[in-house]
Amino acid sequence: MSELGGSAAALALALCAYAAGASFHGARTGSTRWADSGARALWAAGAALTVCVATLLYALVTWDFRLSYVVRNTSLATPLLYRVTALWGAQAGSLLFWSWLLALVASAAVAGQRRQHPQLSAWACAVLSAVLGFFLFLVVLERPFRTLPFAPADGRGLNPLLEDPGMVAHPPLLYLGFVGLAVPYAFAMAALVTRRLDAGWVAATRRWTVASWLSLGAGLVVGGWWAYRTLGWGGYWGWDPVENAALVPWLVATAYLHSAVVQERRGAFAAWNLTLVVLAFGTAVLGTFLTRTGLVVSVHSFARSEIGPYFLGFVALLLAAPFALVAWRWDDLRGSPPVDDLRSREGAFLFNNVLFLSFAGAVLVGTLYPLAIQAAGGPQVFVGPPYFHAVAAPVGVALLVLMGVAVGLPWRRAGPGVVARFRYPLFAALMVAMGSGVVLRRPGVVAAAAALSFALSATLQAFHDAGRAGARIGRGYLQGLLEAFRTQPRRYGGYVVHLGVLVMVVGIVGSHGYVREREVTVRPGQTFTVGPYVLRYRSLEAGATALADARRATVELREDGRSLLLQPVRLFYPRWGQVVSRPAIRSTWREDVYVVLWAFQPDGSATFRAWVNPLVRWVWLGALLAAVGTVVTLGPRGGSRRAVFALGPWPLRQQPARDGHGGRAVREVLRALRGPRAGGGP
Amino acid sequence: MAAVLTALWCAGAWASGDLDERVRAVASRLMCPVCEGRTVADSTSELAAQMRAVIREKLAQGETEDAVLAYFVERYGPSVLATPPAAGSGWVLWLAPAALAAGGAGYVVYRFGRRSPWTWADDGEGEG
Repeated sequence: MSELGGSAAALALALCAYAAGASFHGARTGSTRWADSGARALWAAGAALTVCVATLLYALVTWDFRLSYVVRNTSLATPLLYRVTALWGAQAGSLLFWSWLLALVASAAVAGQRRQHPQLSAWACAVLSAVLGFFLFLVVLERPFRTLPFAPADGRGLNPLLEDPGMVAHPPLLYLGFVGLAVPYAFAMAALVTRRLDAGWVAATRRWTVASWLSLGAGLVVGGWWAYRTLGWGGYWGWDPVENAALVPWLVATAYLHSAVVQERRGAFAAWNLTLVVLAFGTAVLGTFLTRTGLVVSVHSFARSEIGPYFLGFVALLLAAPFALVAWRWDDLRGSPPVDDLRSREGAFLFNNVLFLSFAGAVLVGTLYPLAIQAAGGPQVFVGPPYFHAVAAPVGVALLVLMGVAVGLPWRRAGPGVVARFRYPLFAALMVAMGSGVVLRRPGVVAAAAALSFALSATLQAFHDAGRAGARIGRGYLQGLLEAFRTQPRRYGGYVVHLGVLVMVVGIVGSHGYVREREVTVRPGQTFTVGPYVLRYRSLEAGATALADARRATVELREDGRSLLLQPVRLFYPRWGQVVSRPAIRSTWREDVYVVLWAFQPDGSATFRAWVNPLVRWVWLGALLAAVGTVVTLGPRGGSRRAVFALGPWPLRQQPARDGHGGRAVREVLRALRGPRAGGGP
Repeated sequence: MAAVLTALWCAGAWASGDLDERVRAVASRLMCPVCEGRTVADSTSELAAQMRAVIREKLAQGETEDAVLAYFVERYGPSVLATPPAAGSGWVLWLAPAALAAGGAGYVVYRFGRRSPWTWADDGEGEG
């Protein structure tokens, strides 16, 4: 069994090396045979890795305790689901899993593009194979199939914190997001080498980028959800270095998704988009490096090893190679069309990029600062939540304002009439600022609330315009909205994502600004309060799971005459010497009551930590809405402009405005409603 | 709009500045010395619980938040602070975000902002 897995890994590495070489040769000489051979070798490497993963999975599921990995990450008490997730529960397995996902994604991307863009695909195949080869090299070093001289009767088991439904989805989603960013990276490199620096590579990889961004974002949210439900410290985001390491590539990818629109539409920002794509994948690999080597102090330090130097060298190469290529191709990149005026949608996208990258840069600086100080021989320092909150708050408010402004701005240049479009959003912001100023008395929250309502009403207005366009020509409001989604799924899907983000912001501001917290020791029968709630400690029961001693407290929450029982659990795992406090949460749209059994004494008295966390549910709801919106943007584009967008030459022909209201997007809806080509397309 | 109003309605009940909140504010500015990467506010360790009790006691006695922080720095060294102060090399940390944003925005304005002035003749023409 272990021989099969080990040799499959070695075979995959050899195939990868061949795929990189053959694709490189094929791309350079223009030989389709070599390029095809390289692509096939990459697929074969993917198949070999699939065998590899299947072997390890089989060993985990069947408790093959001859394998050291199985012994260290499962025990006879581990249920089937967590024997499967043990695949990515520790270092060697997660690297193998990472590589396997990369192989699948790379194979699919090359298969999907090589007919349409043979030359780009050949170069991309070479880059992807090289990246995959590096990770396979690490897999071979880490030896996931290492055997023990004798097979013990039972294994050590998975870290108890990882036995949670959240952990089933969190790592795979993050990894999928990371590896997905390799696709635009590889195609950007291919575009640089082949000097095909138009929007072709951007369009060819758009779906991959959006899907990776979605996966990465979903991974982050699921991780927060897991932390909130499992770790028992009352929050969902701790600005932990490893969380930050996944947040940075997501922020960079967000910047890229916006500026990529400008390159596809206007042909501008070619060099800039290359830079963003390189940074996104570079920081993703840096994030994996930080996660997987335990370099930073973090709650995520489940896995550590000695592969650090290789990793660091690889990150340096990943970042250096494309910048060398950019320097080499600088003359081709200089010619991209300029931005005419900052008072335009392009201008808004530029400022969007400045804000997202400043945020990403600040998070990166904050994460790496302790390492830098230590490397320079300084004392151990931490950069914790206060720093990141201080950065996130102003950037967040600026982004909200920009989100509202950008929705109303036309491409190229806004005339003075554009101000009128913002009258409702401005009015809403003013009213909310005055209203919240009276109630909230915190300048930061008031600014956030005003910016939020500005962005929200500007976004809703965009939907309203589309609906009204339908109503105006007698096809109905709803039909107008549907037509907007059908003809311009990217634009209106994007607005749905914005709405989701706005809903999340409501939750984030509420759950950070107005937390109430109590920590008390009480005897059975005594009551304590947290915020407006009165809780009565009723009893403590002892119990046991297969691996842990358990204590379950019963706490009664009285509300409106009804009583509700909350049962937080404290688990002690003797094998790991680890305590896990699973909170009991009573969740409503208004706020969560979050109770943790913190400690207990022999006389039956217990120490609780209780929180009232406002509006947390809105975070999860907003994330769901944003995910739905993202899926909409991935859908096929209806209407007649598809051909222009696929690989259109820039600059696109401009159309003069015909009616003063609503801009091009609404005219698009009108045209679709009136029937094909009635309005005359470009 | 509804969401914002909901937030306002809820927040009315929450806005206050009592002792619990001040304890939390100080605790979230301190790092738990015995656990990995958690603040005293978020940590589940025994020591962090004791530190929170000390913070509560000192604040209740009327000490300022800065004085309480200084007390812990004296006992555990500067590494107990969750964020380095804006002094010495800490300036790099605190100035980085502002420098990035200002530099980026400045470059954008310098590079793209000096084009044609806004004339009324342009009105409505640009939408494409």
